[in-house]
Amino acid sequence: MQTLPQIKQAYEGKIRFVFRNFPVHGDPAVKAAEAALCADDQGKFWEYQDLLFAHQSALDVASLKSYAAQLGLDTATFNQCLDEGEKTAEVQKDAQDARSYGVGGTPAFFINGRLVSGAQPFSVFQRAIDAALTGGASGTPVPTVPSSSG
Amino acid sequence: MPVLLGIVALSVVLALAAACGGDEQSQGEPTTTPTQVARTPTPGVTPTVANPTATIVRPTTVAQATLTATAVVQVSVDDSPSWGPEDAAVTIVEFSDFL
Repeated sequence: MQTLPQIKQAYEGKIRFVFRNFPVHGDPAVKAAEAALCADDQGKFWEYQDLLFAHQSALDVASLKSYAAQLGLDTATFNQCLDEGEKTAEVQKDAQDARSYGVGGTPAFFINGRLVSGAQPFSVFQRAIDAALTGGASGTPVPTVPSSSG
Repeated sequence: MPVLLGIVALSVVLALAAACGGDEQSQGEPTTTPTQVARTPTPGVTPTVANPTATIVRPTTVAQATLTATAVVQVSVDDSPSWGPEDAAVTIVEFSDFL
Protein backbone atom coordinates (compact mmCIF):
# COMPACT_ATOMS: atom_id res chain seq x y z
CA MET A 1 0.00 0.00 0.00
CA GLN A 2 1.65 3.17 -1.18
CA THR A 3 -1.19 5.61 -0.82
CA LEU A 4 -1.46 5.56 2.94
CA PRO A 5 2.10 6.78 3.59
CA GLN A 6 1.42 9.62 1.17
CA ILE A 7 -1.73 10.55 3.02
CA LYS A 8 0.06 10.45 6.33
CA GLN A 9 2.93 12.56 5.05
CA ALA A 10 0.65 15.16 3.52
CA TYR A 11 -1.98 15.41 6.23
CA GLU A 12 -0.46 14.27 9.51
CA GLY A 13 -1.80 16.47 12.26
CA LYS A 14 -4.80 17.50 10.17
CA ILE A 15 -6.70 14.26 9.86
CA ARG A 16 -7.53 11.25 11.94
CA PHE A 17 -7.05 7.85 10.35
CA VAL A 18 -8.80 4.81 11.77
CA PHE A 19 -8.31 1.21 10.75
CA ARG A 20 -11.08 -1.32 11.07
CA ASN A 21 -11.06 -4.92 9.99
CA PHE A 22 -13.07 -6.41 7.19
CA PRO A 23 -11.51 -9.83 6.53
CA VAL A 24 -13.08 -11.14 3.36
CA HIS A 25 -10.48 -13.68 2.34
CA GLY A 26 -11.24 -16.53 4.68
CA ASP A 27 -9.91 -17.80 7.97
CA PRO A 28 -6.27 -16.70 7.52
CA ALA A 29 -7.43 -13.13 7.02
CA VAL A 30 -9.61 -13.35 10.12
CA LYS A 31 -6.74 -14.67 12.23
CA ALA A 32 -4.39 -12.02 10.87
CA ALA A 33 -6.91 -9.35 11.82
CA GLU A 34 -7.14 -10.73 15.33
CA ALA A 35 -3.36 -10.86 15.59
CA ALA A 36 -3.07 -7.23 14.55
CA LEU A 37 -5.44 -6.24 17.32
CA CYS A 38 -3.44 -8.32 19.78
CA ALA A 39 -0.40 -6.34 18.69
CA ASP A 40 -2.40 -3.16 19.17
CA ASP A 41 -2.82 -4.08 22.83
CA GLN A 42 0.93 -3.68 23.09
CA GLY A 43 1.06 -0.48 21.07
CA LYS A 44 2.46 -2.02 17.90
CA PHE A 45 -0.51 -2.21 15.58
CA TRP A 46 0.93 -0.18 12.71
CA GLU A 47 4.30 -1.88 12.84
CA TYR A 48 2.60 -5.27 12.95
CA GLN A 49 0.34 -4.29 10.07
CA ASP A 50 3.38 -3.43 7.99
CA LEU A 51 4.76 -6.91 8.62
CA LEU A 52 1.48 -8.52 7.61
CA PHE A 53 1.35 -6.63 4.34
CA ALA A 54 4.97 -7.55 3.70
CA HIS A 55 4.24 -11.25 4.29
CA GLN A 56 0.80 -11.73 2.85
CA SER A 57 1.65 -15.21 1.65
CA ALA A 58 2.58 -16.37 5.14
CA LEU A 59 -0.22 -15.62 7.55
CA ASP A 60 -0.52 -18.94 9.33
CA VAL A 61 -0.71 -18.82 13.12
CA ALA A 62 2.93 -19.76 13.61
CA SER A 63 3.99 -16.93 11.31
CA LEU A 64 1.68 -14.48 13.03
CA LYS A 65 3.35 -15.33 16.33
CA SER A 66 6.81 -15.02 14.83
CA TYR A 67 6.05 -11.51 13.59
CA ALA A 68 5.10 -10.54 17.13
CA ALA A 69 8.45 -11.83 18.32
CA GLN A 70 10.21 -9.85 15.58
CA LEU A 71 8.69 -6.67 16.95
CA GLY A 72 9.75 -7.50 20.48
CA LEU A 73 6.24 -7.96 21.79
CA ASP A 74 5.49 -9.92 24.91
CA THR A 75 4.95 -13.19 23.11
CA ALA A 76 3.26 -14.95 25.99
CA THR A 77 0.62 -12.26 26.15
CA PHE A 78 0.34 -12.05 22.38
CA ASN A 79 0.04 -15.81 21.94
CA GLN A 80 -2.59 -16.06 24.62
CA CYS A 81 -4.54 -13.25 22.99
CA LEU A 82 -4.40 -14.99 19.64
CA ASP A 83 -4.94 -18.56 20.82
CA GLU A 84 -7.88 -17.74 23.03
CA GLY A 85 -9.60 -15.60 20.45
CA GLU A 86 -9.67 -12.51 22.59
CA LYS A 87 -10.19 -10.32 19.53
CA THR A 88 -12.63 -12.54 17.67
CA ALA A 89 -15.68 -10.57 18.71
CA GLU A 90 -14.05 -7.25 17.85
CA VAL A 91 -13.16 -8.42 14.36
CA GLN A 92 -16.65 -9.76 13.87
CA LYS A 93 -18.09 -6.44 15.00
CA ASP A 94 -15.90 -4.59 12.51
CA ALA A 95 -17.04 -6.83 9.68
CA GLN A 96 -20.66 -6.54 10.70
CA ASP A 97 -20.41 -2.76 10.75
CA ALA A 98 -18.69 -2.75 7.37
CA ARG A 99 -21.53 -4.69 5.81
CA SER A 100 -24.10 -2.44 7.43
CA TYR A 101 -22.35 0.56 5.87
CA GLY A 102 -22.57 -1.02 2.44
CA VAL A 103 -18.97 -2.06 2.12
CA GLY A 104 -18.67 -4.85 -0.41
CA GLY A 105 -14.95 -5.29 -0.74
CA THR A 106 -11.58 -4.16 0.47
CA PRO A 107 -10.12 -1.74 0.87
CA ALA A 108 -12.94 0.70 1.53
CA PHE A 109 -12.55 4.16 3.00
CA PHE A 110 -15.00 6.56 4.55
CA ILE A 111 -13.81 10.16 4.40
CA ASN A 112 -16.04 12.05 6.78
CA GLY A 113 -18.62 9.42 6.10
CA ARG A 114 -18.36 9.34 2.32
CA LEU A 115 -17.38 6.02 0.83
CA VAL A 116 -14.38 5.71 -1.44
CA SER A 117 -14.11 2.18 -2.72
CA GLY A 118 -11.01 0.38 -3.81
CA ALA A 119 -7.34 1.15 -3.91
CA GLN A 120 -7.58 4.62 -5.36
CA PRO A 121 -4.56 6.78 -6.22
CA PHE A 122 -3.43 9.46 -3.83
CA SER A 123 -4.98 12.16 -6.01
CA VAL A 124 -8.45 10.82 -5.28
CA PHE A 125 -7.90 10.99 -1.55
CA GLN A 126 -6.24 14.36 -1.86
CA ARG A 127 -9.26 15.82 -3.60
CA ALA A 128 -11.70 14.37 -1.09
CA ILE A 129 -9.64 15.34 1.95
CA ASP A 130 -9.02 18.86 0.71
CA ALA A 131 -12.73 19.29 0.06
CA ALA A 132 -13.54 17.99 3.51
CA LEU A 133 -10.96 20.23 5.17
CA THR A 134 -12.46 23.28 3.51
CA GLY A 135 -15.99 22.19 4.28
CA GLY A 136 -16.86 21.83 0.63
CA ALA A 137 -19.99 20.24 -0.66
CA SER A 138 -18.37 16.86 -1.04
CA GLY A 139 -16.67 17.00 2.26
CA THR A 140 -18.93 18.50 4.85
CA PRO A 141 -17.54 17.31 8.16
CA VAL A 142 -19.65 14.60 9.63
CA PRO A 143 -18.74 13.45 13.10
CA THR A 144 -18.09 9.80 13.49
CA VAL A 145 -20.00 8.10 16.21
CA PRO A 146 -18.78 5.86 18.98
CA SER A 147 -19.73 2.26 18.81
CA SER A 148 -22.63 1.09 20.87
CA SER A 149 -20.69 -2.02 21.75
CA GLY A 150 -17.08 -1.16 21.74
CA MET B 1 -31.82 34.80 -70.89
CA PRO B 2 -29.47 35.21 -67.89
CA VAL B 3 -32.19 37.20 -66.15
CA LEU B 4 -34.66 34.39 -66.72
CA LEU B 5 -32.25 31.81 -65.36
CA GLY B 6 -31.65 33.97 -62.29
CA ILE B 7 -35.36 34.25 -61.61
CA VAL B 8 -35.79 30.49 -61.94
CA ALA B 9 -32.91 29.83 -59.57
CA LEU B 10 -34.24 32.31 -57.04
CA SER B 11 -37.66 30.69 -57.19
CA VAL B 12 -36.18 27.28 -56.54
CA VAL B 13 -34.27 28.57 -53.54
CA LEU B 14 -37.33 30.25 -52.07
CA ALA B 15 -39.43 27.14 -52.61
CA LEU B 16 -36.90 24.96 -50.82
CA ALA B 17 -36.66 27.40 -47.96
CA ALA B 18 -40.43 27.38 -47.54
CA ALA B 19 -40.54 23.58 -47.61
CA CYS B 20 -37.75 23.01 -45.07
CA GLY B 21 -37.98 26.03 -42.85
CA GLY B 22 -40.98 25.38 -40.64
CA ASP B 23 -41.56 27.30 -37.46
CA GLU B 24 -38.04 26.67 -36.20
CA GLN B 25 -36.62 29.16 -38.61
CA SER B 26 -39.24 31.69 -37.75
CA GLN B 27 -37.89 31.99 -34.20
CA GLY B 28 -34.75 33.78 -35.18
CA GLU B 29 -31.27 32.48 -35.69
CA PRO B 30 -31.56 28.85 -36.77
CA THR B 31 -29.63 26.35 -34.76
CA THR B 32 -28.91 22.81 -35.70
CA THR B 33 -28.93 20.03 -33.18
CA PRO B 34 -28.62 16.30 -33.75
CA THR B 35 -32.30 15.93 -32.89
CA GLN B 36 -33.37 18.51 -35.48
CA VAL B 37 -31.23 16.86 -38.11
CA ALA B 38 -32.89 13.57 -37.42
CA ARG B 39 -36.34 15.11 -37.73
CA THR B 40 -35.64 16.84 -41.05
CA PRO B 41 -37.15 14.70 -43.79
CA THR B 42 -35.01 13.89 -46.76
CA PRO B 43 -36.90 13.79 -50.07
CA GLY B 44 -37.46 10.24 -51.17
CA VAL B 45 -36.41 8.74 -47.83
CA THR B 46 -38.80 7.63 -45.15
CA PRO B 47 -38.00 9.52 -41.95
CA THR B 48 -36.76 7.34 -39.16
CA VAL B 49 -35.79 8.03 -35.59
CA ALA B 50 -32.06 8.07 -35.44
CA ASN B 51 -30.78 5.45 -33.00
CA PRO B 52 -33.87 5.38 -30.77
CA THR B 53 -32.19 3.33 -28.07
CA ALA B 54 -29.17 5.56 -27.72
CA THR B 55 -28.41 6.82 -24.24
CA ILE B 56 -26.33 9.76 -23.23
CA VAL B 57 -23.03 8.64 -21.78
CA ARG B 58 -21.30 11.39 -19.92
CA PRO B 59 -17.57 10.98 -19.78
CA THR B 60 -16.47 10.53 -16.22
CA THR B 61 -13.59 9.16 -14.28
CA VAL B 62 -13.47 6.42 -11.71
CA ALA B 63 -12.62 8.98 -9.11
CA GLN B 64 -15.66 11.08 -9.90
CA ALA B 65 -17.85 8.03 -9.84
CA THR B 66 -16.62 6.93 -6.47
CA LEU B 67 -16.89 10.31 -4.84
CA THR B 68 -20.09 11.79 -6.13
CA ALA B 69 -22.59 9.00 -5.90
CA THR B 70 -22.15 8.12 -2.28
CA ALA B 71 -24.26 9.04 0.68
CA VAL B 72 -22.84 10.19 3.98
CA VAL B 73 -22.63 7.35 6.46
CA GLN B 74 -22.32 7.72 10.19
CA VAL B 75 -19.31 5.48 10.65
CA SER B 76 -18.42 4.18 14.06
CA VAL B 77 -14.76 4.32 14.90
CA ASP B 78 -14.93 2.11 17.98
CA ASP B 79 -11.66 2.08 19.83
CA SER B 80 -9.94 0.87 16.71
CA PRO B 81 -6.28 1.57 15.94
CA SER B 82 -5.84 5.13 14.76
CA TRP B 83 -3.41 7.96 14.31
CA GLY B 84 -3.97 11.68 14.21
CA PRO B 85 -5.82 14.02 16.54
CA GLU B 86 -9.21 12.82 17.73
CA ASP B 87 -10.71 16.26 17.10
CA ALA B 88 -9.44 16.47 13.52
CA ALA B 89 -11.78 18.06 10.99
CA VAL B 90 -11.45 15.02 8.76
CA THR B 91 -11.67 11.42 9.80
CA ILE B 92 -10.83 8.59 7.45
CA VAL B 93 -12.00 5.12 8.40
CA GLU B 94 -10.50 2.28 6.43
CA PHE B 95 -12.05 -1.17 6.27
CA SER B 96 -9.54 -3.69 5.02
CA ASP B 97 -7.97 -7.08 5.48
CA PHE B 98 -4.44 -8.33 5.19
CA LEU B 99 -4.74 -10.62 2.17
